[in-house]
Amino acid sequence: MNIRIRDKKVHISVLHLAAFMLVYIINILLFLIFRGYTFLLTWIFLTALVPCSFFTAWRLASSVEGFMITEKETASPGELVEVIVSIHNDSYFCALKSTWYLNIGNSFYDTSDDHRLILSIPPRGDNRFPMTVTMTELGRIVFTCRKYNVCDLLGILSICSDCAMESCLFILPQSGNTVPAAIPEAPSGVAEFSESSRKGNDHSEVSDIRTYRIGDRPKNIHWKLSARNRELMVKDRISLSGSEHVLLLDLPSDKNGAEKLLTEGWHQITELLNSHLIIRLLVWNQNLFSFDGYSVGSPEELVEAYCQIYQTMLSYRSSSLLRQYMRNCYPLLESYLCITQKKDTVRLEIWING
Amino acid sequence: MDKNLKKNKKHTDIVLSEGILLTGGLHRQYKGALSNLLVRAVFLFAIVVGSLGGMLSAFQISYAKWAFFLSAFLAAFYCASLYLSVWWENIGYILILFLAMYTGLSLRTYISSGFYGILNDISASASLFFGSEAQVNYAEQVENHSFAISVAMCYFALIGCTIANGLISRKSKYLAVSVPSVLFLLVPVYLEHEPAALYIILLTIGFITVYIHRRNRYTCHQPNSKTLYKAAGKHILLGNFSGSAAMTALLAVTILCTIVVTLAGLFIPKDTYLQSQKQSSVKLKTMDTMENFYLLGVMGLINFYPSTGGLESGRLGGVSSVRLDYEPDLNLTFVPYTYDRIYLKSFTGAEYLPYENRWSIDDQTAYVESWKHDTADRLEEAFLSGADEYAMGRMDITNLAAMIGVYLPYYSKASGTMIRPGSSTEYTFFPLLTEIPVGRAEPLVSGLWLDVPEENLEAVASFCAKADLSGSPEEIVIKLRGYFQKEFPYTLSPGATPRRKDFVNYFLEEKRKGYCAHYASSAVLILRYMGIPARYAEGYAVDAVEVAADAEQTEANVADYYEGTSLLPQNSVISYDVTDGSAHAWVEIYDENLGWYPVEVTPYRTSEEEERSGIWDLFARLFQTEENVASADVDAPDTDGNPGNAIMYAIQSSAPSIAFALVMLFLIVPIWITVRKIIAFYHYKHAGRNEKLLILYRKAVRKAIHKTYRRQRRQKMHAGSGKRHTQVGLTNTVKRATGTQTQDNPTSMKNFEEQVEWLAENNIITQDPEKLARLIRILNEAAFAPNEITEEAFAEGAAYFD
Repeated sequence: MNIRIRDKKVHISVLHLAAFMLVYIINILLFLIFRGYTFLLTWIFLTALVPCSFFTAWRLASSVEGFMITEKETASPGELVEVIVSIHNDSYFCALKSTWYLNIGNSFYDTSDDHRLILSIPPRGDNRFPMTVTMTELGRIVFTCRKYNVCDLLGILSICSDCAMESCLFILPQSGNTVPAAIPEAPSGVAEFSESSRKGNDHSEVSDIRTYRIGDRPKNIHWKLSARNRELMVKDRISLSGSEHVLLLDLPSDKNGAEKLLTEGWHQITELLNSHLIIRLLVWNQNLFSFDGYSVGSPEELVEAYCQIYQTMLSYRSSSLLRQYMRNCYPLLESYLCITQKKDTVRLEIWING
Repeated sequence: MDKNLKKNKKHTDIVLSEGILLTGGLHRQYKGALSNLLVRAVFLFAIVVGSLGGMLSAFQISYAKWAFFLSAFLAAFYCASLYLSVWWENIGYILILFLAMYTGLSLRTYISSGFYGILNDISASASLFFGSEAQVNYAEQVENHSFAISVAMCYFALIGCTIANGLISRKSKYLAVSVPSVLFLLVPVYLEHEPAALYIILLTIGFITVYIHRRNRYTCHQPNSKTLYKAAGKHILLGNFSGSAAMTALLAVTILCTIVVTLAGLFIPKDTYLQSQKQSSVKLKTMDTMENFYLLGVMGLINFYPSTGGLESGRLGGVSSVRLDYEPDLNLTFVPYTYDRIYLKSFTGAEYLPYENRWSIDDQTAYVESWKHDTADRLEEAFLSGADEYAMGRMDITNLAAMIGVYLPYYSKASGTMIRPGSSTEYTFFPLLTEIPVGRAEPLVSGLWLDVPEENLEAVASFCAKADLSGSPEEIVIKLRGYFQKEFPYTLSPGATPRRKDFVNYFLEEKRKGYCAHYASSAVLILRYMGIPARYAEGYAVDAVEVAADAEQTEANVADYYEGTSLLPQNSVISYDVTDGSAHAWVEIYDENLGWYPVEVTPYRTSEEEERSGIWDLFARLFQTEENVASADVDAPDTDGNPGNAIMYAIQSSAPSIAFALVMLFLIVPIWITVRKIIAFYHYKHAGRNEKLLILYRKAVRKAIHKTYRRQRRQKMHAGSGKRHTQVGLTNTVKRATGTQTQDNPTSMKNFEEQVEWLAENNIITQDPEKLARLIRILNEAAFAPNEITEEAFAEGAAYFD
């Protein structure tokens, strides 16, 4: 049974209320039958206990803060990661039971489950609950908690409060000794153009203008716009020359295929990076109807790129019309590398953009 | 998404969501072990001391409170600490069990005496409360009353804490603790004795804190994996419990309770309150029942008839145990005139109805109006003629609390009317002293008085043959009573006659013990079978001895109450209260001269029958042999002077018991192993295919670990350096301490793949990669899949571990 008192949602547990009423009524009956002083005292005590218990929960509901911390930002499948749910209480009140409504899931695959975490709240102190988790799939693991209940000592009332606890963890493919598929020999005039030294002719296109992020190249800073906005703005370029190998990830819609492809792509790109190549990683974004492009020149940038890929759900990342979209978006590009899945086999192919 | 939450029993992982596992098992962590231990100990202490101590404080029983508090405190802490670890819990419970047995046996004299001392004190208070003359009294073996009670209370504190710990600490079983504890409190409160404030506070905080913890799922004992998985199955993760939160809650409840009790004490003082309160109607209505309960225990509550003395107008067999309150039922004012019993008849049974188990009064002669005794007329005539052997008496009867009845003395002039409770009547009677008056009694016109029901013929005939009854009616009655005395012992607790059994047949052939109604009913049928007209009578039988002992003299004129010859010196008119202890059933037989007259067939009560045997005695007797019973009587030291010597004596005398306990201790290990094997076997037999395969797998892994361990040890022995052993041991210790997982042991490996590989590497199972892959798949399926594996898969998997 739910009621609302002063903008706070209060849940009344009918079962616990009935249990307490039973104890209370039995006490009254014993008093009426025996007329004993003892039962009179316990009657008064039980009567006084109820408001005290309710008041404690009420005060406590607004003085509790919760935090959720993950030990690290990225991890590999199978790696142990500690996620800590920590609650802090400033008041002198305490509760033996508080329920924290957790949502744990993989936002990349759009899977999640709700859980309730039950913790006691100590007076003027913290209660930290570490959870050691292991992920078996790639993606962006999100731990969120949007509300919590503080239960009164008698278990009758639960005062509901909102909170904003969130923590996320990116699961990246494990760097292993897997031998990536051989890079096919690029046809002449496709990806080995030498970069022109001439300004404005670097075989690249500006795909977006965005705010500066650490690691951006100074040459991509849009100085005029930065001066106007009083904030560093950067031209997000997609290179059409051989200086950045364009690599398209043709993500399938099914999870297993995507896992395979992302893992293979990771190894492939790592191998390319080891060969001192710079990769322009393209992934389709159905939300924007354009390709998200990430310039990957180092393992850190690869991590960054994958984290960005996970931000959008897999269902928005796959399309059967990628070739057509590439033609539409990058008409000047003659050919590009593509990691795609055919008959349960992930392959690196060169696709002609025409 | 309920199915996504599966558990791997081996690794205790829980799937939080697709691809997200909660690893490392589920552990409910208790922050502040000492705080939690303290809270648990306070629970136990508060409840045990509050209930036991509260009861004794209410009755103001004196004993060494400090000893009781100390033993309760130590026992509570010990019991609470049992849950620090699993192995300590197992060992600790066994230790405390033996301690309880040892102290129970060693100090049984003191404990028993103390227990009875408490009962006697409570009984005295109850007797005072009920205004009852009767009082249950138990013999105390130790004269030092308070010392014995102190010892008993210390022992009860130990037992109470152990029992309460089992009930509270595991799952906070609130009801299981509160109900018996409240019962302890109800006894003094019912008897209007209130416990001291300290105990009220202790008991209340004990209850409420357990209640609070129960409602908040704050179980005091660290829940096992099963509980945690059960909760996790409902997507509930039981997180850390803060000891400081529990302590604060306990403290808050204590402060609140103390404030309430203090303020209540100021505004409503206990004495003022108790003086102003009247007893509730419910209490007034139940007082009789409670008094019976007090006097007879549970047996006092299970009688079917609300009768007096186990009799109710010919209804038979419903009384399991006769409950006597020894309260006055009738008041008689008369002049004693004989040493014989004086019968006051209120019921005459004519026809026995077998299987209905009652005496019928259908015949006209059974009605009160027909009780007018024609012999009385002849006795009156003889008295008026001035003969010396006759007399005339007057008896005033007041019904105090008896059932409605006439309570007619024999040979009364009038048949009398029903006397209701609170009313009185006056009878004039002509006692039959030495001479039978001239003339004959009215002849019997009905053959009813010789009628024996067919259903009883066999039992009665068999009885008569065994009892060898013959001779004149008087001789037969004497023989019958003698036979009853010898073969059919008297008891007030014969048990109720079972349904579908005849009262007389059951008594004569099976039960062979009973009280007056049994003997009288059977005797009537037996006498009738022997050709003597007989009938059944109920009422009160007043013995001259009791009259002489308990009667009070009145100032009334003797001449108004008695004239003529008396077998006793006519001193005075007496007033005598007849209690339900005098309620009686007897037999009337017919004599041609005398008419109907009473005869006694009920045997005398034996002293053994009156003895009460307590539960404590029964417990003690379990461990007693004839020898130590005898020696206890002969050699027991004087316990009045030095209790210490007595304790030493008790300890020495219980040496055989200690030896027995030690033997039991040694037997426990093999018994425990056997029981575990049986349980494991039972578990395997009733498990599904998945579980069976995993059991086989675990067994194989365990064997492999032992095998590998032994091999490694042999290798190290051959390598032979003590220093090296130390280093290896140290390395392992460091690894354990730092949490480093070693791959030497498959239990530290997190999945079947690694474990199976380890088994293959150690040549426990095949090394064929294809077979291994298949085995891993089967194991994963058995452990994680919602459905059972196929019979073929099970057979294939099991084949690897055979």
